[in-house]
Amino acid sequence: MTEQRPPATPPAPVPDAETQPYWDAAARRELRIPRCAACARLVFPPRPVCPLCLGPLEWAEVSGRGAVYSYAVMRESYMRGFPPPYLIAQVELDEQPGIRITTNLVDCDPADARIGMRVAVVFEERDGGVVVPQFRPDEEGRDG
Amino acid sequence: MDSALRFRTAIVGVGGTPMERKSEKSLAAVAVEAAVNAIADAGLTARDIDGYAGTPKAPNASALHWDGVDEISDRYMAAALGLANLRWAADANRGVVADGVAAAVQALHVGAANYVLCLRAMYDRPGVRYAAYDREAAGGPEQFTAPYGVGIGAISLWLQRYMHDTGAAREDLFEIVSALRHHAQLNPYAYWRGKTLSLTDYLESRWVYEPMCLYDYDIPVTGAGAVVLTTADRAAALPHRPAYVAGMANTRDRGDAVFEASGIGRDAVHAAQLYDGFSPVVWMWLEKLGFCGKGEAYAFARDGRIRLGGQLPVTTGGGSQGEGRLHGMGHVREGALQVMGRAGERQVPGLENCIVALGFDAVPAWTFMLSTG
Repeated sequence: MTEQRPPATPPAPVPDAETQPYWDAAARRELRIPRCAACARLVFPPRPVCPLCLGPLEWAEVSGRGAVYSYAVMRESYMRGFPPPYLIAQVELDEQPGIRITTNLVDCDPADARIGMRVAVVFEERDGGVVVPQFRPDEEGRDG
Repeated sequence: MDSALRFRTAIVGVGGTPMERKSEKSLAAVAVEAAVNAIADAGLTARDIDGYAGTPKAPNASALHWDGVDEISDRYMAAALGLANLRWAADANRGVVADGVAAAVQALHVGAANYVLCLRAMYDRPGVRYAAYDREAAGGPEQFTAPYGVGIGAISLWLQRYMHDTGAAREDLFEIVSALRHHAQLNPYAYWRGKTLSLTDYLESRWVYEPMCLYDYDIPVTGAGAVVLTTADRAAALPHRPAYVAGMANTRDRGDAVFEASGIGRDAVHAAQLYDGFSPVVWMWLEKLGFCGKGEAYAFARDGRIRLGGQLPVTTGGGSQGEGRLHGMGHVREGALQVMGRAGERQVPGLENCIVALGFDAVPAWTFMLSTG
């Protein structure tokens, strides 16, 4: 377990037909989520149609603000590119209860993470040019 | 449709191997050993087996997916056991044992086979960290998790929220962890047999995925489990009291479906084999099946209520944490042994009905009601 491994980059997301706009938006530093054109509900993760009314989806830009629904601290080294410890969270977006995005909490000490903590999206560019949405603490974010 | 399946099939033989971490034995060797045991236990021979339902998938990121090495297929087993009269076979590719058992029940019901062997075999490859994830790219659902380092045990986030909402403490979770290991002491196959785990050991153990520690995870093993099912009329002619499949239902969304399907209510259930791949899953199942209210499982599981001798003995063979990770085959076998009255020191006195609930929210799950009839 003490074996030294060469530094590795985290796994890169591989977009597919349903998710390509999400990652394209991230590359432009936008957070976009599919929204039903019929019932206006947000859908995440992306699906072919709205799972509630089967209406067509369009890609809506959202505020990128929300609150930590839950979090955990990974303290083992078994995921490529992630030396422990690091925070994993589900962020519930302000736009709609139940729309939760899995993220790391960046610029946050594991001891400071809290359920309900206000967070805002930031965009992290990784080796190879991949851009992934991330969330960081945002104390003044409510009603922002 | 529900009632048409009631009591039409039964588990009539069980088999297994002792659970080891890294083993000298091959996956194929333990698979064959468990299968041979189960067929003999049913009072049958390989020539009687005309159906096979496997769940071969190795789910770990470091898996090779090589037949006979870390996965085992219906073709391999048919050749290895000489199943000369095989006429129906299926491998459920998710590795969820429930899929195989459910398929076996259906195959028997429509007459596609008369005696079906169900198998789950697991291999913990020497020299490899079981959970190590070293892929450079992640597609499908993993594209939203692996780039953030989400590893096995993301249920830890569910646990954090649950503890926040209910006030449940780690001492409460230890009630689950401890009951499973207590039950393992009475199971000759169990990896944890002869080992101890105190509350202090638990609270001071290393975090893996805080708030989950090492002992909130199941135990990767090399080992196998198998059961043989047949139709109710054929079961009557075999050596053991049959464990009838009173009903089954997919319980991804509807926790009460298995009670409707079987016609057996919660109050008539005398033990529950609940999947325990991660400790909090047992809380999930207790609530989902309605043995207690939402947010109440942590309190329900206190005071020995889920231990042998308690109000609802849970996972009486030790399960994935006490016996070893067979993804539910241990639970099926234990449920059958309890209903057959053959669970030895673990036997729940007077047991008539035992529920077997496999998988959890992240894995669409089947639930079975096994009954003495």
